[in-house]
Amino acid sequence: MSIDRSTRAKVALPVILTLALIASGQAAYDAVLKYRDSRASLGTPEAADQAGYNDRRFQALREALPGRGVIGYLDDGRAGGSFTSEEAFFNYFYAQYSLAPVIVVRSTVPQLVVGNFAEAAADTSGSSSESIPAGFHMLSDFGAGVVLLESEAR
Amino acid sequence: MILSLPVAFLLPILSGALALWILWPEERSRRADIWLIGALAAGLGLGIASAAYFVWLVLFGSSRMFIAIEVIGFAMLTGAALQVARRSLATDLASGRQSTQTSLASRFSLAGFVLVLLATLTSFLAVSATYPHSRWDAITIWNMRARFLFRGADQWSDAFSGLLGSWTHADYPLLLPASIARGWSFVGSDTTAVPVLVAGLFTFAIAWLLLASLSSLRSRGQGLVAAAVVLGWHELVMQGTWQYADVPLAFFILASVVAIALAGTVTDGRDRFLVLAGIMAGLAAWTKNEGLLFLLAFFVAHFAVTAHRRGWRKSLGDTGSMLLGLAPILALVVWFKWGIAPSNDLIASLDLSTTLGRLTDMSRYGTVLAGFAIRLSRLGGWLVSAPVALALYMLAVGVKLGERERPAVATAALAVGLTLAGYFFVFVITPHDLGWHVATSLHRLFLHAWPSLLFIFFLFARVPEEALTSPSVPQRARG
Repeated sequence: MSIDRSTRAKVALPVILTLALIASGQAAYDAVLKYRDSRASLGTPEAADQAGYNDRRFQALREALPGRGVIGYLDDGRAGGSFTSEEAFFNYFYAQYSLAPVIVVRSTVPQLVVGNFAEAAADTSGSSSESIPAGFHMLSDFGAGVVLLESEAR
Repeated sequence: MILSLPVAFLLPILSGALALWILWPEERSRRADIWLIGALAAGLGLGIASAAYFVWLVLFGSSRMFIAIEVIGFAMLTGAALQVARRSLATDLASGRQSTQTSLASRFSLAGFVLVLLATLTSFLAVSATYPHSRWDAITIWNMRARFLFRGADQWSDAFSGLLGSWTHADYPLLLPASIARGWSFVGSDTTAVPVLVAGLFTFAIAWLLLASLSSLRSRGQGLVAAAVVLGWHELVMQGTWQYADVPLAFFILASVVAIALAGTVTDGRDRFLVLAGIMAGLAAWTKNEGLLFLLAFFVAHFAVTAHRRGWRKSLGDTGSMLLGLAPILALVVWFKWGIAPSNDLIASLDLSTTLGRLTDMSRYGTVLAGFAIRLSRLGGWLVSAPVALALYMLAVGVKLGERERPAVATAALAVGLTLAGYFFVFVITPHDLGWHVATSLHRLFLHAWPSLLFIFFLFARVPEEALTSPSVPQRARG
């Protein structure tokens, strides 16, 4: 028994549209749930939008820096070489994204060095002073683990 | 910002629409093609504006005088379009009259499309509100480079500093960063609304272009089903919200293919669509490095198909028309690549003996082939594999390819096939860890081709209006 084209098309058209609708409906439902959940952690270190959270952390430093130049970078791990963790890798690029057009290099050679430390550690110790390497002094503490250090070498 | 934000986008899109309106061949009705002109104008306007913004930035610095130039350009285009409108009003009114009757298939397809569109708009807005700064590549490449261009202003060249490291891919073309920086210059601040809007425009312009082009070339129902299918592929909307350059690239690949298909519908004015195809392919190269590969594949495919069907002399003539559209944008890309951008990390790290070693390592072919097969089978993110569902759909509705669409289908299929083959070999010789490279980029590469593959598919498939009413008797293809 053969089914004519008209009958086949009457089945195929709703099926293809339904498949597209189910996929897009499911994606919309998931997206709305994720958006609702993200509201709870907004502005915290657990924020879904980590780039936005870090952008706010670095805002005061960005305003304090000159419009152009190269600054060093120091985090909870060691400076230079490879990243100590995936989180350190991400945090470095969030800092670069936030501080553009200043170029942030993972080195302590430049005169000015941005310190990017975990917010919780910075809150308890006051200024992350334990993380400041020898030969540097703190120029400014912008809070939330963001500090600007200056080399004492020059 | 309330006024400047829409103006920043409406100005180039309307300018693009006016330019297309002026150059649209008389043989086609401008009035009937108004939605198609609009869809093409969205990418054309934003693409040309991004190129013009970057050239202005390099030559004249960060002065906002470029806004005045854009306004003057818009005014001139409006004047020219009014002249054309006066001249061609009678023709357009005569040929633009279309049947207002809508079939059951068309109404059903419209209902499906509207529901899918509402769901995808919800997805796009919810994800964009959750991640307004977006995801990884947007942060390390596209939006960061836009920040260097906008915030750095006269020191724009810092965006390409070697100090930024290979992760920032400073050699990537600038359509997306320059579009965003241009938008910020209009608004006066680097609000996240601009990259979100750019991403949204390109994402939904893909569906709009599929809808408008297939409505014009085949039927309204066909356009609506194609638009629903492309939006129903959640990868398109998700990657749109990621604010990467892959979605704009997919748009320009589709627009190039659509322009070639339109060239087949006219005898007088065919050259204008070929020039448009050249511009769109050039904008693909101005969007991503993969666009350069597509550009080459597209020109080779069109030359080969036209030479086969109409002789090599005609093929050379067609290629000349396409080069006319391509030349200014290609010149910009070449200038950027040779004069401004650092070398590409992939190419810089290749040496002959290692590359030959990788090319002769059969296990690498197996890994890449498996990656392609898995990705293809999962394409669509549907309950069943989208390619399988679409194959069954075509079996059900049947095939009907018109003679005038054959060259376009052959060109598009060959161009997309060559591009995917190019991607395949880039993976085979990649200096990166092969498994990681395939896993992290193949889904984006399929995105480049998917809207164009759907365009080809729906040029082949019988339109729903006809399939729902016709019995299974062989019919001659439409001439």
